[in-house]
Amino acid sequence: MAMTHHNERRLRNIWAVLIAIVLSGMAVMAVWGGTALVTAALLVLAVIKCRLVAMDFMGLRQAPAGLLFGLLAWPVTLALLAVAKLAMSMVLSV
Amino acid sequence: MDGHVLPMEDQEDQASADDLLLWVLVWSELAAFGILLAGFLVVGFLQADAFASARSHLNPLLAGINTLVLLTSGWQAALAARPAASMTTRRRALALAALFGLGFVAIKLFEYSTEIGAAGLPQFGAFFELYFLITGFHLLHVAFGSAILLLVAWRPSPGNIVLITTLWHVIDLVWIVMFPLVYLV
Repeated sequence: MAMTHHNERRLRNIWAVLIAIVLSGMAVMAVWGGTALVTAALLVLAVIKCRLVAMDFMGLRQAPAGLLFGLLAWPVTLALLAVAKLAMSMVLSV
Repeated sequence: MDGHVLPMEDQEDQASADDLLLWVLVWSELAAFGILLAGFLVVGFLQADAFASARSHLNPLLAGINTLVLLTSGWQAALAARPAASMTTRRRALALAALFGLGFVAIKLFEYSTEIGAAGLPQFGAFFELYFLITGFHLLHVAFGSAILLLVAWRPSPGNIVLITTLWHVIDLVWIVMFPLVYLV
């Protein structure tokens, strides 16, 4: 079964890291938003957040590796699709 | 022997079947949202100018705040799913997870109220139709999930807590990916 075995303190620390990542992303977006590079960086941050949620909130750190990799294939695939779209749009606009 | 207690082998079979059903459900959700988001990217590529101008009517700040709200809800759901936690702690964490989920719903509805005026305008192509379809489908999941979290907080059982918190984290994952794809890419 998918469940975390972390203690409360560990879960609070992971939550704090997630919040820090979101706030950093929001700050970057506010200051430098709109460029393809910033968008690609925010996609990487999204995958990192998904990894933390899956491993530590869902408890897949302790589960068979296939479950974790299978789940993380979803955000990674969509992020790669998004990067491909950004790249093709840039090529066509040149 | 108590008639309600299954033999150990049957209990293991039942747990294994529950696990399989849970992951079938998880992947059904991910497949549905994956197809919707991939479709959004493809239409966004074909209608690049319309999507770019439509995005200026969105509010990424509110979406960012909602990410914070949903991650906080996920943290509470994780606290509730710990086998070591007391039932009182689990119930409180489930109720808090539900309340943050309802907070997400309230913020998203407010955001919709500022965007609905731009929907349907021809210069924005299919953006708002897809935007309301995809984010609305996710919003329904959050609203329904919050109700189930409250129900499980009221009548908790370890199996149901694992089931709803796992699905809750998946709804969280979908939003984490949906945010940059819909608001930025």
